[in-house]
Amino acid sequence: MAVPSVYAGRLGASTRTRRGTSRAEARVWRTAFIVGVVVLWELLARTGVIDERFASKPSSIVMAVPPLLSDPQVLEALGMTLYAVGASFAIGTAGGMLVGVILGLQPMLRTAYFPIVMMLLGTPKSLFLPVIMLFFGLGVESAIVFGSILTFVHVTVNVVAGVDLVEPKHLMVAKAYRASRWKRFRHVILPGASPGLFTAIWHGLRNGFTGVVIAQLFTATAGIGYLVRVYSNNFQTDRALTLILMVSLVLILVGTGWNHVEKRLTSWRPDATQ
Amino acid sequence: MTDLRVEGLQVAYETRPGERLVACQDISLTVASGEFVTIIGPSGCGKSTVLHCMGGLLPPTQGRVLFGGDEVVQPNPHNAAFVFQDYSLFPWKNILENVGMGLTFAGAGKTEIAGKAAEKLDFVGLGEFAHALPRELSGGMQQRVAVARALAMEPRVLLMDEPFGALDEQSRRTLGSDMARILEQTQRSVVLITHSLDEAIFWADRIIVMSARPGTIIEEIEVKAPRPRDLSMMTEPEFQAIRVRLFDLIQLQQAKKAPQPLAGGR
Ligand SMILES: Nc1ncnc2c1ncn2[C@@H]1O[C@H](COP(=O)(O)OP(=O)(O)OP(=O)(O)O)[C@@H](O)[C@H]1O
Ligand SMILES: [Mg+2]
Repeated sequence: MAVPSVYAGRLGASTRTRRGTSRAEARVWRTAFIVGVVVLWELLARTGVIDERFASKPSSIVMAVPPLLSDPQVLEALGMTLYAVGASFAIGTAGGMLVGVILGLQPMLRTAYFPIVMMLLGTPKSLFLPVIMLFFGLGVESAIVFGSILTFVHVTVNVVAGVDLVEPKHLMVAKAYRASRWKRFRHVILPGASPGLFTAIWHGLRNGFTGVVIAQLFTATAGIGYLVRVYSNNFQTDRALTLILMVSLVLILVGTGWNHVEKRLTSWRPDATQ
Repeated sequence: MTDLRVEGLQVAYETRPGERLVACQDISLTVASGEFVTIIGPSGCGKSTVLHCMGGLLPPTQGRVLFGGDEVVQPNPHNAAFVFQDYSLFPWKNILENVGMGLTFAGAGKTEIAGKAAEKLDFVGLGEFAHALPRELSGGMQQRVAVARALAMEPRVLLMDEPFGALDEQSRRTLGSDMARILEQTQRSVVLITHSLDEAIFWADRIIVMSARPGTIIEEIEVKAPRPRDLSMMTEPEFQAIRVRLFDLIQLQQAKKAPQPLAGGR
């Protein structure tokens, strides 16, 4: 069964660029691009080429931050979303780790069940939303269930891919020196699979978040997704975009932080860069 | 009685469903307590396979392996410890931890592990690299770490699969003769696979020469030179005579492996 590479699709995959100089150069180009887009957007909106009511403009978005952050409705939505993401992440990651490790280590179970997980990975999971709503209602529960499912699927797939990274020769050493099951897991499988486990946790968090926001966007009566829907419907595009950007920023920060943690903890890897 | 016996060993790998590849067959040999046995033969003839069976890592398809009279059905690192062909260090553990890993797996206590690991690491001359990671060491240095890991078990038999393959001739000789001397003193048996004719002779009480696949034993040569041996042994006529004999045997096997010329009748 083909498994998506655990190396693919990382936030900031560009940081894998070889030399420090070219990395700095890439950063300059990226910043220039972003600044360019922002400036162009502002200009187009001010000159009326694009309609400010639909597209807003960068300066309005910045101005919208302080009132948003002092709006109790927004703060409540943030809290609600954070809670749902946290719950989804916890449930989905715990389940995904367990199932992933079991499927990774038991060839028979893997042949039997892994195709189901892969099929789930390939389906647009939003299709399940109506059914989930039917069972769990319009509240935060639906968002948590949907977020957990997304997290679970992505964590499972990446953990299985991680376990595949464990090298047979290392398992052979454990066998030759008669390691107990626990020692084999603790000293060989866990560290050997750790690059995949790190990726799994990151994808789990990201997809848990996506799941929660999508659920809120379509069904909920509270949360960030819900607010974005309301603001968009009321042509408060600046508020909607501000919320989206703020949330993206948080996610990017978490992702970058996680990347650093991973680099530090897997610095033993032969391809690691200091 | 710690001798290691192999009786009528045959190993066939199932390469694809229904397709069997016989790696070695009719292998019978005995390694007496304290004896040094070297195995030499063309690449792919089943040397590693035989060694893995001797240590209980691989179940024989036919025949059996006995250690001190008991059938070997699973590895026991206190009886026989492996040095693998591809060294197989754990990249996430530092060198000292790697040397102690065999003991850790086998369930030794912390103080015992720490003491023995440091001692064996010094013995292979890598004491100053205790806290380095494997990726910071050259191939030859990593092999020495793998040797130290096996030595730390203080096993009754050492099963070594080309342990010095990545070393240059010079370091191979010095490390080899040092190790041979230490192992001699401790009455430890050694089975050593090598591609080096010199190494095969220098270490050996007995050299086992294997044929091309399916590997069988085509000759056993005793090396009677007294121990402890000195590198000067290599210049003696007996050494040279055995070397020539080995060279011919291996040449013959290599020729068999190569495609037959069109006109050549069998
Ligand atoms: N796990 C395996 N599955 C299938 N075939 C195998 C397996 N291991 C070894 N073989 C085959 O068995 C034969 C003997 O392999 P082995 O590793 O024992 O040879 P070797 O004598 O140690 O060779 P070398 O000197 O190159 O290390 C080879 O032809 C190899 O392709
Ligand atoms: Mg081999």
